Amino acid sequence: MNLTPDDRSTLAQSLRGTLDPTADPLDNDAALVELGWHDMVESGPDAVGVVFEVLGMTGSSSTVLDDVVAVAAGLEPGSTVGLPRWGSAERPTTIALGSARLDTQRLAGLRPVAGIDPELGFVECDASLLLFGDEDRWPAVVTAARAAIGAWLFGMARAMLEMARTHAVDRTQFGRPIGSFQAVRHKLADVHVAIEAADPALAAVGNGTLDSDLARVLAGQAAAVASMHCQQILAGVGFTEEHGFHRYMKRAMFVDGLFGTTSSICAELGRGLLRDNSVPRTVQLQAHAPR
Amino acid sequence: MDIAACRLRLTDHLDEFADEYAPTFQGAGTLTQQLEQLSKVKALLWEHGFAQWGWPERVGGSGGPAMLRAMVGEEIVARDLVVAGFFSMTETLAPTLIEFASPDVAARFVPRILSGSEMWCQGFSEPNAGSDLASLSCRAVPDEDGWVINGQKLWTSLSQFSQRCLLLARTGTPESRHRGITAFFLDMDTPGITVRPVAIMSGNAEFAEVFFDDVAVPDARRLGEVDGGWSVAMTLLPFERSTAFWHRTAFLWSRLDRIVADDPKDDRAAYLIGEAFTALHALRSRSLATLQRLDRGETLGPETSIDKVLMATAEQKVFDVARTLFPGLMETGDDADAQQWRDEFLYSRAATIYGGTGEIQRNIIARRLLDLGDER
Ligand SMILES: Cc1cc2nc3c(=O)[nH]c(=O)nc-3n(C[C@H](O)[C@H](O)[C@H](O)COP(=O)(O)OP(=O)(O)OC[C@H]3O[C@@H](n4cnc5c(N)ncnc54)[C@H](O)[C@@H]3O)c2cc1C
Repeated sequence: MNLTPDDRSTLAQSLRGTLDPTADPLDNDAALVELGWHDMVESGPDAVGVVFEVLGMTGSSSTVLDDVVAVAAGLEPGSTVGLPRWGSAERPTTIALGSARLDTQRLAGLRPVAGIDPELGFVECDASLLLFGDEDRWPAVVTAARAAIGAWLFGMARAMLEMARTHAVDRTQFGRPIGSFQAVRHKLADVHVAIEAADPALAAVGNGTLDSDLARVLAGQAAAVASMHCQQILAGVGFTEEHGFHRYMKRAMFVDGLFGTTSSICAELGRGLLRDNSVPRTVQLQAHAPR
Repeated sequence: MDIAACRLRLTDHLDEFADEYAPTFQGAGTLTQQLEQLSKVKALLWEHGFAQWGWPERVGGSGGPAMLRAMVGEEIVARDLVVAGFFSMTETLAPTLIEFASPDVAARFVPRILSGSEMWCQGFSEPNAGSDLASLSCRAVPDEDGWVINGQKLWTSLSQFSQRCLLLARTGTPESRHRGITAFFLDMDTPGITVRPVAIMSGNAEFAEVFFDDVAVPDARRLGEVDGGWSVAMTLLPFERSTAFWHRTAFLWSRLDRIVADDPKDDRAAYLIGEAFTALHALRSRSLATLQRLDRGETLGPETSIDKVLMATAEQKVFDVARTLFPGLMETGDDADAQQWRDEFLYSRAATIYGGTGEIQRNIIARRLLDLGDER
């Protein structure tokens, strides 16, 4: 199902009212299900993209990536599925990542992953505790997951830019807003360019694996540039626990390793071109926008 | 008109006449060879009716959307038949004439540009007016027969080969900045014009200094209003950043093809190729969206600075990757292939200089798109 720009902003609006950045993942999940998440996740990457972008922008925790994986794997939404270990895109056979859906009280052999982003509530466990769907569906799982993760990282990048932009306008040093210093302006411009570079690519993820991988890499690059430059612009205040910035930056670091990292997917893309000895023309001239 | 169907007609034609279109030289060729090839290709396209696609009928075109021109250039450049940057100059010059020259002047001159029978150049930059174009000082003073021009232009690409020059001159007070500039187009053989070719760093004398010494220009050669030259210059921009950019992406894509076909044995190859591919994908996706906006009749504005930054980034990335994966080729190679990689690598360094530098683009993005207010 393709959403119009209006549909997208209406959906984004209601998601913003629903998702709570301070809530547990399972509480946000419940709120999303009430909003019709199970229909959205079956409707294709358009609505899923909006949900993940808003998850990223609001910094809210959720386990809905499980449902994206479940649907692509031919399982029911709501299933307790497994994800590859951090940094990998291989279908796990021994150790897997599980989400906060796993009941850590009742199951033995789980290692809660606090790591850099404990709020996401991931656990490491034996793959036998989790569902993965048919093996031949795994490539489709990776494609769908990467499209969602791309949107997630994109949302985080946008939130970081907005924080830094606001700070650049409000914060005064040497008698003028720091946003009047060219060194600061050009960093913000570079973040904006990286975000805008990912935007049309993300709109085309429905076209398949290659588009999904490319969009995921561009979104990952945007999040990385945003993390670096926005941190620098927020300076001392952005280094504190009180300021919201660190949550986005840390989450972007964690999420970057789900279903492969930005750099591993980049190398994967290059290997594909070398193997096929051709560079696909991913974008063709056509009169109408995909969105 | 259906782009895909038109593309098929063109590619069938290019296949059928492949021998006629093919360059007579290997690799990049000399500048003279490149320009002869350019005229030949444009003349063939004109003769067979393809150069007319996407241009209005009143200037000799056969109508249809600008996207057709994007497609034609893409196919020509992808086959390495011409130097992309030279071929695409039509995209900025012709629309300016169509918009600002009188209908009969436009009808007379645009076909010459499209058919390759004339070369035109763009005289904007001056020794003291580069990024700060609005400070230009080459003067045009009215007299009873029209205008008299005195001053100097710099880095005017291909001016030593051009029949005509699109010129910006000061008609207001020195302080009038963009409000006191008028656009003209002059015959390069007018008495008083001296062209001194300047070699670019790859050795080709590709641009020049142009001196104007009491050069008489009839008022009929004025484009747009007196003191309205800034808006003439600004109409170039949307075309440079749409159809012409689309042509250039085809060039970059073909260079990544070559890198991949070489199958470099280097541990970094996959990653670097993936990165270049991603940068090209970002550029093409953005560029397509811009072309679609143009197609819908939207006005293109400061947001095309993003296209410009993505273009420069992708171009430099592709050639940086080539340099890493072909060690020594550009530094020590002397055959036609090495020469071409070296020239194109060096040219890619200008991608952040011409058409508004990388810093100027970021200034525009900060002020106009991020709304950061004025700089200090
Ligand atoms: C290959 C090539 C072809 C060209 N062809 C043509 C042509 O056909 N016709 C034509 O008219 N011109 C042409 N040019 C000229 C081109 O438009 C200018 O080089 C360009 O506008 C920059 O001007 P400049 O070189 O004088 O650099 P300057 O403006 O002197 O800039 C020098 C450095 O200072 C930086 N800078 C300047 N102002 C600012 C600012 N406000 N904020 C931050 N940084 C700043 C610049 O980014 C740059 O890094 C060509 C240039 C090249 C390289």
